[in-house]
Amino acid sequence: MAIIAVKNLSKIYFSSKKEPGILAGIKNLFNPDILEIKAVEDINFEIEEGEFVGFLGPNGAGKTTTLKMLSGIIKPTSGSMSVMGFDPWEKKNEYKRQFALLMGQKNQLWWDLPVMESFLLNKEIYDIPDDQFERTLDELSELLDIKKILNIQVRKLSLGERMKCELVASLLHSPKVLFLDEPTIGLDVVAQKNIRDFLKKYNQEKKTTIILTSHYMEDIEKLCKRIIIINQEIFYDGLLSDLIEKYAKNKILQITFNDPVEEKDIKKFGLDYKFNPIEVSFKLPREEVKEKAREILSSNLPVDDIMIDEVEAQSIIRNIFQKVDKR
Amino acid sequence: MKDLARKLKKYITIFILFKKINFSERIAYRFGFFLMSSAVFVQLFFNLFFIEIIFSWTKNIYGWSHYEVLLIVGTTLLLDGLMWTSCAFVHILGQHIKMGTLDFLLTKPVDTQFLVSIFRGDLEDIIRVATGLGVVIFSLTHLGNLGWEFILNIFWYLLLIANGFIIIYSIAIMLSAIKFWTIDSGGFHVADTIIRAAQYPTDIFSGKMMHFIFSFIFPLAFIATVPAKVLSRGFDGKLVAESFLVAGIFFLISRKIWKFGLSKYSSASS
Repeated sequence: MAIIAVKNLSKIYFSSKKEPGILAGIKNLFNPDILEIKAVEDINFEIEEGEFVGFLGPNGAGKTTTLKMLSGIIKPTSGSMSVMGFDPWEKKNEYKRQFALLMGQKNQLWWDLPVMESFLLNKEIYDIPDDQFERTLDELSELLDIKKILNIQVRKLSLGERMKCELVASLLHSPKVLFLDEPTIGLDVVAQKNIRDFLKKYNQEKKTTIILTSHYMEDIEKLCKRIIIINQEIFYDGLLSDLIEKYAKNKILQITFNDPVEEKDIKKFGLDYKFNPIEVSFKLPREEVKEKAREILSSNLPVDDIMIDEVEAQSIIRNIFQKVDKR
Repeated sequence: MKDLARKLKKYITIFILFKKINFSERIAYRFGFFLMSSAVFVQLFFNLFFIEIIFSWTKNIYGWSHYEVLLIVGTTLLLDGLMWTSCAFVHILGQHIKMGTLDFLLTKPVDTQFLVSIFRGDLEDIIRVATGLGVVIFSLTHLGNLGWEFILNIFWYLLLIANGFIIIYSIAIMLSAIKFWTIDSGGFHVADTIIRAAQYPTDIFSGKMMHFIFSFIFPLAFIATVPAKVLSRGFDGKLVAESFLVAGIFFLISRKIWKFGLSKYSSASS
């Protein structure tokens, strides 16, 4: 049975339209224009235990809204959901004990206090026994390398350090399901990689079910086999590799030369290329790549090296987002 | 039963932890702490000063002698102080709602109303509690009816001020829950005003209609006047029963309103 099941889930926000200006503001006070904003519309998906699923979509696509509904924070307008057999909106403590939500843009540690204070508070809130608390904290702080900063005030930490601590705070009670909303936002490449490596290992070892949203394609590529692309409705649900195969009709064929070559010698192999005298890259339909590579190798061009590459996942997703946005 | 005891222990532990955190946070900024503390002192001084001025003109107010009124004032200070040291949520709930920081409290396996209530406590207000206690004891020594019966009166007094606390708390919760609709983080300190109004004997609101309003609609009477009355003049079964009834009903209604408000919570975008 799926650990997370979402059926025909919708969320509509009602808000009043606010035009700029004092007069418009006064008018709005007495006669508001109520706007219906569809954040999520009729989405369906199921997630199995231990899966690491990437949630993708442009800004305002309803990713966070969905995670908030799954966390029992906001009430769905219609539809049903079940996580570990619980309906999140019932807000049962048994449910809350078994999942965690981490939001990269919000801070749940106590700002003016040492990190450890927040951990100790979570220990009481989640009823974590002493020995288990020590074991988990030891393990996590070792993995994330935060032992040295446990007694430092949160406001004095760097963003990367803080995010590691946020992660530990969310994992102390060993949740079975983990919702990560942009955990790497604003981090430098090193910090991003640290968090990514940690998450990968954690998911493999603990079999925790994880939903991750991120705007960094690298996070998704490295961590999630399966992705769900959402923009109010679900646009794609499946393997990332399938998506790339489906949308990446082209591959990149890159050739370096020992000696400079002339452009007219290159032209006859294809039309879509980037040229400089010692390096050229062709964008070619998948099925033609091998054949073209063979042709070039057997020509009299001074080939030094040859490389076949996928078009970047990032650009595929960008294309899809643009398509999704136009609807 | 064992389960209940364990749960109670957990909630008490969490409460103590939060108060420790509140205190450490407050003293993290030393200057701010001293400033806030002196503000409390100034406020207290004027508070008591005005009562003294009134009694330099008259011997009693609606049958309440000088020291009896001081007893009410002391009781109000005590409750006021207890409220702000333990649950100063009124100051912060609006911000939680507006900024969406309530999200994290909502995902914790502890009653959300409890967490929100104790999230903030202004520890400098412990000065109010101490002053209130001092004023109560000072008035009692001047009222001078210390005997066996008096110990029983203290017992009833403690129960009645517990009810007074519940009434203040419930009113504050009801008024704060409005923020789920208004989403305004600005000051909404009606609760403050109500507590201030409770420091005068509610008998000054004479007439049947007024008596009813200030006993059951805005139950000012049961915050400080009734506890002070029982402490200085002895047990009154009807008043004690009414006090429990009002506190119970107000608490239940406030919880209903809170839960309804929470279902309207729309969080803030990330």
